[in-house]
Amino acid sequence: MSTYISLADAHGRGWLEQVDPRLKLAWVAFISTLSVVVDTTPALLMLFAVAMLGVSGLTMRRGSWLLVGGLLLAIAWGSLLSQALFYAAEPRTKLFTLVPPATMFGWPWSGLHVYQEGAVYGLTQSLRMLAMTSAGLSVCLSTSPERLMAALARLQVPGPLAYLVVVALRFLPLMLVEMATVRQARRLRGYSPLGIRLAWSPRAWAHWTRLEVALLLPVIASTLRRAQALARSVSARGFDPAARRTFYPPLRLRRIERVALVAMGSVFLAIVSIKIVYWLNVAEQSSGAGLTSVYDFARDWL
Amino acid sequence: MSEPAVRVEDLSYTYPGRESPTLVDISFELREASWTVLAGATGSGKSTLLAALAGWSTRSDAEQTQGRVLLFGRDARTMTLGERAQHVGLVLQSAEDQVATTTVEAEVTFGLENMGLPVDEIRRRATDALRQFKLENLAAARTNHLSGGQMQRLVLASILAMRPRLLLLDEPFGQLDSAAAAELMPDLDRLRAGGLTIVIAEHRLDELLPRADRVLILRDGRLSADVNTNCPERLDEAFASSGLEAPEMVRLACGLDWRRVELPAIDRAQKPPRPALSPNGGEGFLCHPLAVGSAISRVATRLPNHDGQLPMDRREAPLLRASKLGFQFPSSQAPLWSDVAFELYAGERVALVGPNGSGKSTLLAVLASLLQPTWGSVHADLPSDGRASSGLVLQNPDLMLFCSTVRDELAFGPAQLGLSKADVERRVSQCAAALELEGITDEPPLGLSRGERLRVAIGATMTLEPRLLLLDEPTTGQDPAQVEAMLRAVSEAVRQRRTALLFATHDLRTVARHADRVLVLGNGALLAQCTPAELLDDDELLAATRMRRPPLFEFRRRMNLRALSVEQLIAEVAR
Repeated sequence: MSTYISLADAHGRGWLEQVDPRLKLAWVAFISTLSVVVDTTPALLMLFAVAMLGVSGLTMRRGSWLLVGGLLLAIAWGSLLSQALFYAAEPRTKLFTLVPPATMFGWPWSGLHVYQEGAVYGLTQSLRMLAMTSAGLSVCLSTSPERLMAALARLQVPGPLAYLVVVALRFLPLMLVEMATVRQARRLRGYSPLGIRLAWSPRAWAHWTRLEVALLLPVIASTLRRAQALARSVSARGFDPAARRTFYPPLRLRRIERVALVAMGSVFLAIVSIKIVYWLNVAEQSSGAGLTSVYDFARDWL
Repeated sequence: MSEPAVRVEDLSYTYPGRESPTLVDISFELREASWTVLAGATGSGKSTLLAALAGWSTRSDAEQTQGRVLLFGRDARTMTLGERAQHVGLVLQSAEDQVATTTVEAEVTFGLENMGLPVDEIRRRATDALRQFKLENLAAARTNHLSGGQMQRLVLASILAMRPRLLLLDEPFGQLDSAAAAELMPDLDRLRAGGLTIVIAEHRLDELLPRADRVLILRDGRLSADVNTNCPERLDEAFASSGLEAPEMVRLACGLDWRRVELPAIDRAQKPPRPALSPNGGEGFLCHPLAVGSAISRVATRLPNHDGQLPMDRREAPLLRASKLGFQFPSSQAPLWSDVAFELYAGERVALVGPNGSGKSTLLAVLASLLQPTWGSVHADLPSDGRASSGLVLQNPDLMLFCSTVRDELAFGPAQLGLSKADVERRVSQCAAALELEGITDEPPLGLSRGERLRVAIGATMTLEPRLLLLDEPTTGQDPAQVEAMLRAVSEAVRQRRTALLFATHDLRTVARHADRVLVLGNGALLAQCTPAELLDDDELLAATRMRRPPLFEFRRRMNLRALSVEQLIAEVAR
C-alpha cells in the first residue's frame, strides 16, 4: 500500500491530516525553497525546527516513528561523514586518522583523516536536506492520495500528472511486496544468492546478475495485469484524467489556514527579498547606505 | 415491445497482434431486469465479451471490433466514457486491483466525482450505497484493511452508487470464501428485483443458476448455446454440446427426473420472475428445478446417516508432526492461531480449509520454513535423497515464474538440488507429461493462459519431488475442468512418490473430490481434523468457519445421504 497507508496510524487522525492539502503543498514549497536560500547555521537550524513542527503533527505507530527517525539520522550521518572525510577547505583540524599516508602505485597519498571543521560543516549542510525531508514526509504521511490529487488539480497541475502521482503512491509499495514474494518463491525452489553452488567467478557473477534481473519479470507482468484491471475499472466508472470532475469532500481553506498561508507567504517574501538585496550587494551590483543593517542581518542570520 | 437492455449484433473481436479472433459473430439480446449467466471454459472469451459490453477503454480495441453493441437502444460506440459509465457497471475478479483510492468513502464517491455530480448529490448517493452494502460503519476505514468480502462489497457499492442499468460481473466470487459469496447473493437479488439487468461470468454455477433466467455458453469465442435455466435437460445438453461438464445441480436434477415435481405455475420463459426475498436469499428460489429445496421434494425417502472413516492406514510413522504450533505477527495484539497440532502421512491428500483471513497461507509458510512459528514446533522425517523436504506453490503462481521458458522453469529447482543434467532432464520430462505441459515447454511461462501458468508453477515445485507438497489456494480463478485435471495429476504424483499433499482451499467441492482428510482452521485455532464427509455434515463447524455447503452438498445433508458425487448420490437415492 502507499506510504501514507503503510506508515500512518490506522486509527489516529492527527490535526495534520485535517489540514487542507494545498496549504501542506505550500508548506513543502516554503521549506524547500528557504532551505536553499538561507546559508547560516542558526537559520538552517530554525528552518529544520519549523519543518519538524509538521512531523510532530503525525500520528504513527512506534515502529514507523523509529523508521522516520532512522531515516533522518541516516541523512545527517551521511552528510557529516562525507564532509568530515573529504573536507578540503583550510584551516582544517585532524580529529583522527583512519588510513595513514602511503604510496599507491608509485604516487604519494595523504591518507584518510576525519576533520573537525568538515564534520561541523557537514552537519550544518545536512540541515538543508533534513528540513526538506521532514517537510516532505509530514505531507506524504498525512495526506491521502485522493486528497493530494484534489489539491494538485486545484493548483492547476495537469490531470494525468496528478493521477500518475496518486497511482504511484498506491501501487509502488505493492510492487515491492511482490518483489519480495518472487525472492521467496526462488528460495522455495532451493536458490540462495550466496549459496555454495555459486563459485565466485565471472560466469557465476553473470548467472547471478541474470537471475536478479529475472526477478523483475513476474513483477512487471503482474504490474501490467494490475494496471490493466485498474484502467478497466476506472474507465468503467467514467474516469477521464483530462476531464473536469467534482472533488468530494470539497477543499475549503479554513480561516486559520488562510492566516497561516498569508503568514507563510509574508515570511517567505521577506526572507527572499532580504537575500536578493544582500546578494546584489555582495555582487557589487547595488548598494545603499541605509541598507547596512539589512546586509548585516542577512550575513549574520540568513 | 420495450427496447432490450442489450442487443449484440454479429460481434467479433481480435486482440491486437493475434491472428485468430477471440469473439466470433456473437449475437443475442437481453431483456431489462433479466439475470444472465455467462459460462465457458477459461479462455473461451467471457471476459472479452464483458469488456465489449462495458465499452472498450482504448481506441485500438474499438478498431479491432466488428459488429455492434446496443445498450438500451443506443450504439455503444456513440457513447462517451461518462455516458457509458452511467448505463453500465463493471465488476472484475480481483477486488483489490479495482480499488483506486485509499478509504472506503473515497472509493464509493470516485465514480460520482467523475460524473461531475454536485457535492450534495454525491453525499446522498454515497450514504445510500454504503448503507445498502452494510459499509456505513467503515466509511472512514482504509481500503487495505478490509476483508475480501468487504472489499468486494465496496467495489459493488462504488459501481452501484452510479446507478447503472446494466451490471456486468466478471468472476466476482473467485477470491471469496463461500460465506462471503453467499452474503452478496441477496444484494444482487434485491438489485435485480429493482430493475437492474445482470450479466455474470462465474465458475460457481450451482449457486447462480436458480437465480438466473438464461445461460449463454461460449466456446472458442463463439456463442455455442443460449438456454433458459428452467429446463435441466436442455441445460445438460447445452453444456455437453459446448464440451463442458454440466454443473452438479443440473446433473442431479436430470438424474432425479425433475418432471415428477409439480412446479408452481410460473411461466419463466415468458416473464422473468421477481423472486420473493428472504434473509438468506435462498428460500425464494425453492420453485426452481435446480434449487436444493426443489431437488429434495423429489426424493421421498430418507437414508440413515453414516460415520466418517479416516481413510489412511495409520500404522506407519507420520511424515510430519506439528505440535502446539502458534503464530503471531509482531505488529498484532493477538495470535493468528495457536495450539495447532496435527500429523501428515506419506501418500495422503489433506485439505486445509477456513474463512478468508484465518491464517491458512501463514500455516503453509510455517510448514515450508518460510516463517518461524511463534510457539511450538514442526518435526519432520524428511530425508534429503535428491528430493526437497517441502515445496510450496504460492497463492499467486505468477510470482513464481521467472525463467524464460517452461523447460527452464521446471529445471530450475532440481538444478539447485545439485542433480546431474540427466536426472534434471528426466524429472522435467516426467513432470511435463504428468501436467500436460509437453507442447509448451519452449514457451515463455508468463505468456501462457492462467491455467497453464498455475500448472507450470506446480510443475516447477513438483520437479523438486518434495516430501511435503503445499498448495495455497490452487483452485482460485480456475475453471472446474482445469482444477479437476490439475488435481488428478497432482494426486497421481502424490500416490506414486509417497508425498504428503496439503492444499488450502475454500472450495468444498474440491475438498470432497480430492481430499482424504481435512484440517479446519478458524477462530484462531485448529477447530477439527475430519473427513470431507464429516465436515460437510457438521453444521456448527461450517458456521464457525463461515463456510457454506455448495447446493449439491446441502441436498446431501438435508437428505442424510452418504455419497459425495452427483452420480453416486443419484444411485443412492435410487436405492
